[in-house]
Amino acid sequence: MSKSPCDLMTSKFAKLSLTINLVEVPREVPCFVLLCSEERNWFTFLQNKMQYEMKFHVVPITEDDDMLSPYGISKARRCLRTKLDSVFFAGPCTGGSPWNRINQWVSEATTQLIEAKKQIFWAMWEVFTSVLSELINMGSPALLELPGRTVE
Amino acid sequence: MTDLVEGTISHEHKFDGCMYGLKSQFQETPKPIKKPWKVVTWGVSFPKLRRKCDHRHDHVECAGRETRITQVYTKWIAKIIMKGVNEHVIKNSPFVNVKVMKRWKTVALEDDWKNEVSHDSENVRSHPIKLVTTSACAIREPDAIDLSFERSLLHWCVSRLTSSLIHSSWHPTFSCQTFSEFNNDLLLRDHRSLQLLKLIEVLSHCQQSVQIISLKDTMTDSDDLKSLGQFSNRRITIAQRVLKESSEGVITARPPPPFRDTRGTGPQLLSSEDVANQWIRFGMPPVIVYSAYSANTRYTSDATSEALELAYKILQRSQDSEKECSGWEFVAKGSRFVKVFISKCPYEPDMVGLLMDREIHSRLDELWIIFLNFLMIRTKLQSLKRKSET
Repeated sequence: MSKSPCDLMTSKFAKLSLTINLVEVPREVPCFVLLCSEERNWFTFLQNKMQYEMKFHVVPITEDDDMLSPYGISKARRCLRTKLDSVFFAGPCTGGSPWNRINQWVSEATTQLIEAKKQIFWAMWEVFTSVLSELINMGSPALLELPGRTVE
Repeated sequence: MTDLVEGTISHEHKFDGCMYGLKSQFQETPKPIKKPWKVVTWGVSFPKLRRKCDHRHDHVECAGRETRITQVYTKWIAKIIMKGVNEHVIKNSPFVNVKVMKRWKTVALEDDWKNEVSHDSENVRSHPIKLVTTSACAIREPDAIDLSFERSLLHWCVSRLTSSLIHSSWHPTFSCQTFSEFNNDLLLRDHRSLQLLKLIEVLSHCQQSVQIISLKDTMTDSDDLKSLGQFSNRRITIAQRVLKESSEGVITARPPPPFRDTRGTGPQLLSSEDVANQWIRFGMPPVIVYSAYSANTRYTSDATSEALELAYKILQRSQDSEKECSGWEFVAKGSRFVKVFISKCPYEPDMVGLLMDREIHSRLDELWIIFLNFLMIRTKLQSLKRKSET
């Protein structure tokens, strides 16, 4: 008889006690939240490399965290506590890049893909603006990568 | 999006990826990719993040599979952003200063000294001393850091006083007067406090004669005095007071290795004496000369090397009368050199952190040993020469 995945997992960890410790970054350690980034990037690399010099903690909000989900939003908000916490938003390149205007005529599938990414971008933008307005009122630093030729 | 940016106080950074190491990955010889980036910031700015393409290289089109790599920032860009944010945190965080404050002892100070210290700290914006002096007017107990600082001063004095080549282009008579008063053997005696007092005396003479007189000729705008910053006599005055309170210790040191001149075709070694003369001729404070030596003899960061190179080039230019680069201009531009070291001071919870980083500080002893050995060998050689002549 074959076992279901749940049974398999139960039997596998039957003799083990699993403990997950969630450690929150202390309040006195400022956070640099990277909205929409990859798990491993140059920022986290540099933080690990220069951990004695850097006086803040880099928190990447990845695709797995999903910035549009309640978990992703709360993760970002929990890190933005004081005016020393900062945020960097570099959304997917679909908000106005000239390449998208060219590529959307390649095929129907590409057009749909770009349209889907646009919707994701603007949904993320909504989240970011709500976070950003709070940060600006608080006097915290914030960074935003603008898609090409948006403000010109 | 436009409303969000324009309706607030923000900084716009436009830069090209090719100037920050963005290169193609799918070609035999990686070529730069000119990807224009635009980053808007609030509450923090990155002056180094504004480099546009200088058109000195060929570009690869940012298309096809090459676009994948361009969606992430380069290491260089990430480093600039990280450092900018870190500086912001250090400037504004009360927690960064806690360590420093614990090391300081609050005492009642004289009014004139209090003014002096607070005025001096205005020039060092990012250093915790600002917080300490404005809130508590504190003074440290003499410790190992005092000794190191004192050694740097001593080193500077001795390098000036023992050199026969030193002379000031603005005030040619001073060097002979001060150097003739000094006895090299002072350093080798046991009563260190006496040596220090004498050295301080000489130091104050030198400061007045070189720094003030030489700069007076070239200064035109009195407001520029504010930007004199770390070169003012005030820092030296504070150092003197620190020296007076320092406890007894053993002076062991040796001179720094020769200054490496990396300009031109091949590396050329200049003697430390020659370089010291050139630096000091412009009234550079001892810590700068000392830091230059130390920084130049180890693997330095890009910023330090750049600052050294810049300072040295300006120094060379200032000697060229045709280009009309005044000594004042040199000192003003040389302040960038100081900033390189000061930028590291928040991580160094000691007084020396104001002036040099941890590595330089850790090498002070070593340098001082070299220097003393050098002095002793030279005096021995001189006495041997005399004997042979007689």
